[in-house]
Amino acid sequence: MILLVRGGWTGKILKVDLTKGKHVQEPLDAKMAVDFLGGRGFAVKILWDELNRGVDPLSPDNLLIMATGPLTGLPIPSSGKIQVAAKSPLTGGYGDGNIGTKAAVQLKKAGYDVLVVKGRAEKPSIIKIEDDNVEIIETDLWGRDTWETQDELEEKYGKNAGILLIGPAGERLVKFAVIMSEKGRAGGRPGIGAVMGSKNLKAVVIKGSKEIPVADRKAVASLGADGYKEVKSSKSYDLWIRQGTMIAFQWCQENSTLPTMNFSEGIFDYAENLNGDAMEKHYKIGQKGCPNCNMPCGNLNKIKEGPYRDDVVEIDYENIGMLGPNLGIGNMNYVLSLNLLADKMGMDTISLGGTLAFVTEAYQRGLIGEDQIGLKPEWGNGEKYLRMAEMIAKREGFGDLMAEGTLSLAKRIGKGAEKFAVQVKGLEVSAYECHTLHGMALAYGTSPIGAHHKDAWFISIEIAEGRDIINKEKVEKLIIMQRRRSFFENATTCRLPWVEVGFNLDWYPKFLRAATGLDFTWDDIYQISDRTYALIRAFWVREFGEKWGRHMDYPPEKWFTEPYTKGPYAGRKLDKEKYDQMLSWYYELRGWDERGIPRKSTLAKLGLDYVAAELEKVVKLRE
Amino acid sequence: MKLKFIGPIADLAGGREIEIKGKKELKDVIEGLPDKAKSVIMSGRIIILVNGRSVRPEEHVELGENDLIVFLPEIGGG
Repeated sequence: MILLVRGGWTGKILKVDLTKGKHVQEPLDAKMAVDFLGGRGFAVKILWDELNRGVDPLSPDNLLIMATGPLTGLPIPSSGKIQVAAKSPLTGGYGDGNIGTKAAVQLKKAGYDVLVVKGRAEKPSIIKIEDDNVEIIETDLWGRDTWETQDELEEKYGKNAGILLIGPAGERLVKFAVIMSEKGRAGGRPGIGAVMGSKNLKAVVIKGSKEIPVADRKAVASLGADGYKEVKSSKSYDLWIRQGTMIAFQWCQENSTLPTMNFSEGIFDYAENLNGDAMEKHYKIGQKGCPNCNMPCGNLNKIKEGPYRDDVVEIDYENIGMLGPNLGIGNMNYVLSLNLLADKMGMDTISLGGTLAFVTEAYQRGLIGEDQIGLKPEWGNGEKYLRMAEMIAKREGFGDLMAEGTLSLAKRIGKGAEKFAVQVKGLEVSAYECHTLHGMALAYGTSPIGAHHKDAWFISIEIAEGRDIINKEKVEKLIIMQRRRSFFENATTCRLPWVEVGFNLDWYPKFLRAATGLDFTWDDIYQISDRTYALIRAFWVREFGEKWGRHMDYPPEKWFTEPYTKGPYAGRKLDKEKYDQMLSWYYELRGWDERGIPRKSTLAKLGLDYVAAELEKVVKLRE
Repeated sequence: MKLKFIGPIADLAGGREIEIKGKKELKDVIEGLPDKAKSVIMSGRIIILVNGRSVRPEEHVELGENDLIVFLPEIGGG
């Protein structure tokens, strides 16, 4: 079915084959547009349809997908987002992430909803897209860091060009390499930067000159203007704008959910040095936001001492949580420096913090020695962690093993080290400690990409309503949160206006109507979200086959076995029986079986019969 | 009792921690705060924990000398 575009979508997919040096434009399928909306939905649909089971994620056969949605790039609050996705080299399953960048807007303006890259260029290259003119150009930028590459490409193609690029970590196939943009914007935690590197693709540069089609331009302009006003008039706006996501630091410390020393504790003795107040007082020099955003979350901080003195780095909470307390570092300058190094090399800050912390705990427990690592890791020692981060980015010595990520490293070490690998499905847990939070642990367990918070940051609800409550209603609330938040991954626009300053969700069906001319209710959106979740789950199951089971949805074992020793919740840990009960409720509510696999009837209800047919080739589906 | 304010709301309240003597009802404690802090708290985007238990601002809660009341912004976690 060819989409007769009234707006929102441009109606075109650009496919580039780097091996053949060719590209082709294909029409966007109307059914796919309506069934999956965009962004993550498009990504998983294309991966399901076009990728064979068992493809090596770092082979030319994997697909690198950059996808927008019907709201991307429109003059509405925080719409400058793009989704990057592929089969993940870190987890072996579906991987994605979103990035706020001019590239999102430029891709739409160039006339494309999605860019799909396959193959591998013979030599390091960039893809340059200027409307219908698409070129694959050899580049001498290979080996340069993300800052230098951004500068070089901006100088050559202009400040307004949309640029997505990788650093040396992506080039060296570090399994948690990300795609970067504009010196600090990052996305694709599950190694999507490594997939780009495996294709010999250093950057994608996009310049568009077209007007993004919309069904009702006046309505988009008017709704957008009103929307921006509502965002700014929120009672939370002034509080938000000062610290952005860094407000979470003090919040997590207060609630014993701050990741501390490889998620061993929920509070940190030196939290006062690293929290939002400390940042405001000593380090923050400015603010940075994405295109079309009037509530910028990027805090620009100046480093005051150490090897990166006077450099400026953009931070948010997850980076500081994972590179600060999780490594026992109480000196903000070293936390900022680690953040900067990770960004310049193009590594995910969360997985970097998780991996370094795991190595430190494994060393402390005698599971690995100084002779293997090449140095003695030490909580709080910023100099050593900087050195280890460099080793990872360069795959130097033990860095070559650390670059494979926590789970792979733990398996290699053996001796029960997996127990201390704080990850789900191979993706390191982001910066929220869950020893007392079964609901948030379940959110990590069932997140579509492995342990990440973007689909369901459940802590606030869980603490407000009672962290000890274990019931089906709590699980229902978690699923509703996943449905709502995953809408933003498909739309593709930023969720922060809603989650952080209370921007009313009723705006979004109106935006969709003005953009596309189609009516989407929130019930329709939930259906799209459920369909996307089921297809992502099917992708994982297709890859893992008989190895798939409910154990894949378990949080780190450490949370069940190693209680807190400090703070108001000392002695507490997760209860496996309670978690299992919640997981069973979760499966039941989603229409998945006891293994966490969508039932045939569920797939049929979501219009995914074709998925059931293919899935049955690898596992027996329940009715 | 001790009131504890997390994040930038502390500036609106006039301090990170405030001690109040004697017994009071929660709504009277909130009423006694500066207008800007009160307004944000009543907007519903602040979580109030009394000794770790979540309460609503309009709820009838008797507070005593040793109680800890924490005001947390209802953040979304990025």
